[in-house]
Amino acid sequence: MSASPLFHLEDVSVRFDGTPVLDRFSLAVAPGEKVVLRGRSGSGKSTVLRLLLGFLQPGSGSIRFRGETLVPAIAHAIRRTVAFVPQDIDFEEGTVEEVSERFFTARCWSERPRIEDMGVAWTTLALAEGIGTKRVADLSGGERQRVALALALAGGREIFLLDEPTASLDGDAKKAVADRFLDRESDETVVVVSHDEEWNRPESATVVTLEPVQ
Amino acid sequence: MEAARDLDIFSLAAALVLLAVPVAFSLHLRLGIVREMLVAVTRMIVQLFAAGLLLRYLFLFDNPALNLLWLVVMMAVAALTTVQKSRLRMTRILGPVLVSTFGVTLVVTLYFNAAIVRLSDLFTARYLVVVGGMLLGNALSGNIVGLTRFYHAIADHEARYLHRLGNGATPGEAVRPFFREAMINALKPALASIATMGLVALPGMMTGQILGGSSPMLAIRYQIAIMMAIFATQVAGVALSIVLSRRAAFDEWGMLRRDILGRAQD
Repeated sequence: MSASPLFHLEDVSVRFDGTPVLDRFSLAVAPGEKVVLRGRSGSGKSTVLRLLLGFLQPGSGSIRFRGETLVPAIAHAIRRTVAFVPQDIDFEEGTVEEVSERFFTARCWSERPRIEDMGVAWTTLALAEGIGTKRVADLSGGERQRVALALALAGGREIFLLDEPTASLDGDAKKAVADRFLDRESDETVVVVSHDEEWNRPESATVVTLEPVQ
Repeated sequence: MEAARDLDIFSLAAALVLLAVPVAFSLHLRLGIVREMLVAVTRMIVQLFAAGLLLRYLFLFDNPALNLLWLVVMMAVAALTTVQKSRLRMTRILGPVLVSTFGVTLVVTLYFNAAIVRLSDLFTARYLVVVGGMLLGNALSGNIVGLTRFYHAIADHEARYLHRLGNGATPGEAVRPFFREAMINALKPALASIATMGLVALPGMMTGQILGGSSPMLAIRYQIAIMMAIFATQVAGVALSIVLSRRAAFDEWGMLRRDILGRAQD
């Protein structure tokens, strides 16, 4: 793609307690591009997302967002621009409706999606009717993951950072979610970390396979 | 009404005989806390006699500067104890907790003296030291619960915090559920105590006043006033401690500094 990268990691290295996790890793994500990060456990896939969100700083190398070096102010700007679904979904107590309402109370959501307006997201993710009144503590892992994805979709953002978003879903649901996010016609930018084969679609996404650092 | 009957050394000895009950239970059930109990009781006796001696002279001189100085010392000890018991790193958190403990306790104590008791001398030992001390003790317990719950919950539920942060919440917005939870937990004991007061427990201040010769109705009015002051001190104290310590506890990227979480110091 010819557009300048939205995210650009250049020669990034990360160590945890002295153990290298990423070694001179580079990645450029253009606007509208779909990138799938694959690889074995410990290969640093989730670390890449943490770096993009400013949750973690590299030991060396550079990270840029829209050409600007990642500093705290830029990290906060990225977080206001993207929809992020973490690997571990840990909602606070309450019903799905209550949790959803509280999720959008941050000032960055100038137009706060209401639970009744989330119908499209619910339908896409095949969430059961009446799930809004269910307590999150009673949801299955798959339902929790779908709710997190619905929140990401309901926000109306155009950049998605998804960490193992379908790990708890069954085969059909995995495919439906991958279909939704890897649509070549959409302008959305998607960086997804996943073990699931459903995301391995070189025809519609840039598939990057990471290897554990030796 | 006559003042409370004198307790001489034999009375205190009779009181200490009651210590045999917990000691016997502890030995029989092998709780392994006999030594801890004896140390705690010895500490209490020494501390109370020392405080009594000090209060005697504070009351004797009744010097506003001295009274205030004693309150400041108590506040510093309260702040130190709060940080230790909250299992948080002293160097980062002590300053904010000191400011919060000092500010809130002093303001509420002076309000109590000025607007409720309507004293002409707000710094008189009998009220400043006694009321301030009572508020401090309660602020301490609320602060310990509040700070512990807040920081340790964020560490235990990092994914929840990052989920909100990663979707654009400012660090202040992302910690809001943890803040709410910490406040509720810190205030629950005070709320329960207010709700059952007089029914399942006669509070210390009221009992003390009645024993000291005050009429039960006056003691009740004082008790209501002090409970309101305690509640206000706890709410404002916990909120301010958390808000003020946040700057030191999070880095510029909005991440909780892991070195803030210390080891238990019970």
